[in-house]
Formats: sequence, C-alpha cells, structure tokens
Amino acid sequence: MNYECGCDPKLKIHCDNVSKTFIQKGNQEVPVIRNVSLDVMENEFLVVCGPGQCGKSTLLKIIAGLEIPDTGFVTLDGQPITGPGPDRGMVFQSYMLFAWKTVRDNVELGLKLRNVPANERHEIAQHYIDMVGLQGFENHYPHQLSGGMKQRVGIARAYANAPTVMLLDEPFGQLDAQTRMFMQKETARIWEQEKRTVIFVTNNIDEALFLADRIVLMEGKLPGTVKTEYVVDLPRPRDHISEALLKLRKEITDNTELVL
Amino acid sequence: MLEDQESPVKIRVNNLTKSFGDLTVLNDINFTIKKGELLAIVGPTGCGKTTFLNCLSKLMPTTKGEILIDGEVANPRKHNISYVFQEPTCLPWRTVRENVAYGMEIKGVGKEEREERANKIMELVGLSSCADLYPNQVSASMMQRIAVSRAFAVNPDLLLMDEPYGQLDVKLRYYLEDELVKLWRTLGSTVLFVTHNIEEAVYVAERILVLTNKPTSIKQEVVVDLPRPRDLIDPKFVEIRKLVTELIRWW
Repeated sequence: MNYECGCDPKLKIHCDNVSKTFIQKGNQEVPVIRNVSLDVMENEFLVVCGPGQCGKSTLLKIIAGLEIPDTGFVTLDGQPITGPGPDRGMVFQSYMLFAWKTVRDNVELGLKLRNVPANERHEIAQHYIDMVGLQGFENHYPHQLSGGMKQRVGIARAYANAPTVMLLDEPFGQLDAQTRMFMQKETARIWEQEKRTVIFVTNNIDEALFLADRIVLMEGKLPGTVKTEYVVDLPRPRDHISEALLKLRKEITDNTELVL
Repeated sequence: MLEDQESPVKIRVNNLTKSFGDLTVLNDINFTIKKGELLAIVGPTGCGKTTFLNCLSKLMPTTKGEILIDGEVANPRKHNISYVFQEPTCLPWRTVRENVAYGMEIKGVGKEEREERANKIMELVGLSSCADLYPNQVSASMMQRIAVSRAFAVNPDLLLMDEPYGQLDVKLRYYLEDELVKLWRTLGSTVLFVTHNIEEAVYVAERILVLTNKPTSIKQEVVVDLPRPRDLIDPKFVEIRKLVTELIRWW
C-alpha cells in the first residue's frame, strides 16, 4: 500500500456489523446490507466492487451519512457518523451539478454554504478547477460540458471542501469505455497529487484494478455482504493490458457471480 | 468467415460521406462486409460512430456515396436492416415473445413462421422461460437480450449493433458477448458491431476497422484470426488488443 511515512497506517473508517433493510411498497422488506464490517486506513484507495444490485452503493451512502444503518455503526477517526459532513466529499454517478450555476459556482457551493469569504472561495475553487484540468471553463454551464468534464466538476467540488475522505459512487458509469479510461488515469493522478482516503464504488473490475490499493468484492446478491478482498500490489501508473493485471482480473472475474 | 475466403460480398459501401453544414463527419469511407461476417468498428471517442450507423441503417440521408446490399442500393422497404441500440428498446405493452416477434410482424412474416423463429431464438439465448413476461418484469440486461433476439429474428441482410453491452459489469458482458457469437454463428448473419471497448471488439470480431478522428475515415483494418472461444489473456489476443489500442489512443 501507498503510505507516505514509515509509520503504522492509521485507521480512518471503521464499519462495524452494519445492516440495512429498505421497506418497499406493500410493506415488503428488502435487506440490502447484512453484517458488513470493514476497516479503511488513512490515505488508502479502497474500491468496493460487485455486480449490479449487491448493496455497494448503500454501503457508501451509510458511510456518507446519507443513510442510517438499522444495526451496527460506522466511525470516522473514532467518532460515530450520524449524518453527512464536510469531512466526506461525495461524487455521484449522475453528476448532480446545479444546471443554473457555472463551473466555478458549482465548485464554490460548499464553501459558500460555510460562509468562506469570496476571495478565499475563488482561490480554493481555482486550485481545484486547475487540478482537474478545467481551466478556461470556469464560466461554462454544465450543459456546455461533456460527460467527462461534468464529472471533473463533481470531483473538484468534492475536493474544495477539504474533505479527508472522498466517496465516489460509480462516478464513471455514464461514460464511454475510452473516456472512462482517461478519467481513471486522471483520478489516479489527482489522488497521487492530493492524497485522501478514497472509497470508490464500481461494477467495473478493470477500473477497480487500475485504481485500488485494495478491492473489497461483494457477493452478487442481496443482502450485500463482503465476499473477499484483494490487495492490488502493482506499481502505478498501471497498465490495463499488463500481464499481472489481466491475471488478477481473471481471478476476480472467476470469483464473481453472473447476475443476468 | 475467414476459412472461407470465397464468401460473397454482402455489403459494399462506396465513398460514404456525411456532412452537417461545414462539418464533415464521415469522409469518403469505403469497405465491404462478406456474407456471414462479424465486422467490428472502433475509433476514438467522438469520431462519428453513431452517425456512421445511422447512415448505414438509412435512418439518416448520406451526403454522398452509396450502400449496396447484394449489389443493389440498400432499401429498408426491400432489405432487412436490423439495428440494436445502446439503450434497450422494448415495447412495454408486449410480452417478451411478442417483442422478439415484432420485427418479423412489421416485415410481414406469417404467424406460424414468426412463432417458430421466435421460439428458436428464445431457445438459443435462454429466454424461453420468460417468454410470457413483460419487459418491466425482467432485468435491464434481459431487455437488451430481447432487443438482440428481435434483431436476429428477421434474418437481417445487415445487423447493426451500437455498443449494446456498454456499461454492464464484465461477467455479464462476457456472457452476452458469447451469446452474440453463438447467435451469429448459428444463424450466419452479417453483423456490423460498433464499440468503444477494444477488448470487446477483439473478442467478438473476425475483422476490425479502426476509424480516425473527425473527419472520419478508415485508418486501418485489423484481422482477428484467433480460434474461438477466445482467451482474453492469450498473448496473441493481448497483442491484437494492444495494436488496436495504439491505433486509437487519445487518453
């Protein structure tokens, strides 16, 4: 794993026996997560991987504080999570940008809500707009941007609040295969540049292997449970077509259920 | 198919050009597809792959050039041209069986033959058990399989596929790609498969046409002469994947 100092890795997030059941119409109970326990170390890049409908997004929302678990608990730096907070930046699959705000205003939003003075806001926003490579597009509106660019705004916005944890929920799910590879490369570059604890949810094993220090593979059915873990001890930047990566991919694919 | 070099040309595209105002999207494209061949088209993002398909399907008029099927100008009234879109397109008020049979109905295939062909195809892809369900009762991947089955069912002269397995998880994608290869080989259809995913192109195709950036033309043809089922970690497979990747890499 990629720890900058030689000291012991520090526990950042701890999920303890987390379970969650949703009630569907007709009072039907759908258990989505069952007894998930998980530790994430500081500045670790963790990818939660699994086929569609395996509870992985719900797990992320619980860590974000957007869902409250029925049983079990989650701690961040030892403190229980009771709701969302600026210490956790979230990036959504559907971008969730404000259509009537420019790129800059979207990135500044969290800062504005916390009453950060305007000049400081601009400075911070510009730093992250530059980091994601959107300089020159500050005054564009979301509809003027491509899918990949929209998600860069989403990433810049999450970073702007100085979170210590980044939560990404299938952020590249709407992009084509090539743009997706490009964004994976960008994500790895940004993470090397500004290390954070990252939890990244995806159904794409290639993406997981390209990015992760460690992959948590979920069972391919509800209720979601952790099936197994893989440590991806490959040098960065990685190559999607390298022998080592393809071998590990085969191992993971063979261990994944086919969900038709 | 490759071992049979004598396969007649089924599709011939001559000087295909498409412009929108001053913007030339397709620039003088020429190629042929042999009868029963599965040809893949890959190219950099934004190179006009969808415009390409829309021209071939005759959904969109071309600026210049012609598309010939068996030596005749392609005509959707005469020829059977099937199109599978990225997003699954099922009619929600029809059962799976009725959806699979829909193209045949439009083309005036008789009831008995319709049922026979629909049953055969549903059997091949393992949809028989849900033949009487409605689309909202099946999963998204199942819906795409219905669309693929419907497209094959009309015995198309040309079957166009626009990245049908785009964002599915790999396991499911492998399964559906195998299913596609099975349908294609059993029915001997002529297929043009467009994708952004290079590995997928190498996995399914007999031959790959690599496109350039706009104004789009054909950069190179790559023949995939690997036995099936193909092995994704076979060094020869990886070599072809690398070659195609280098031809279009922009990321």
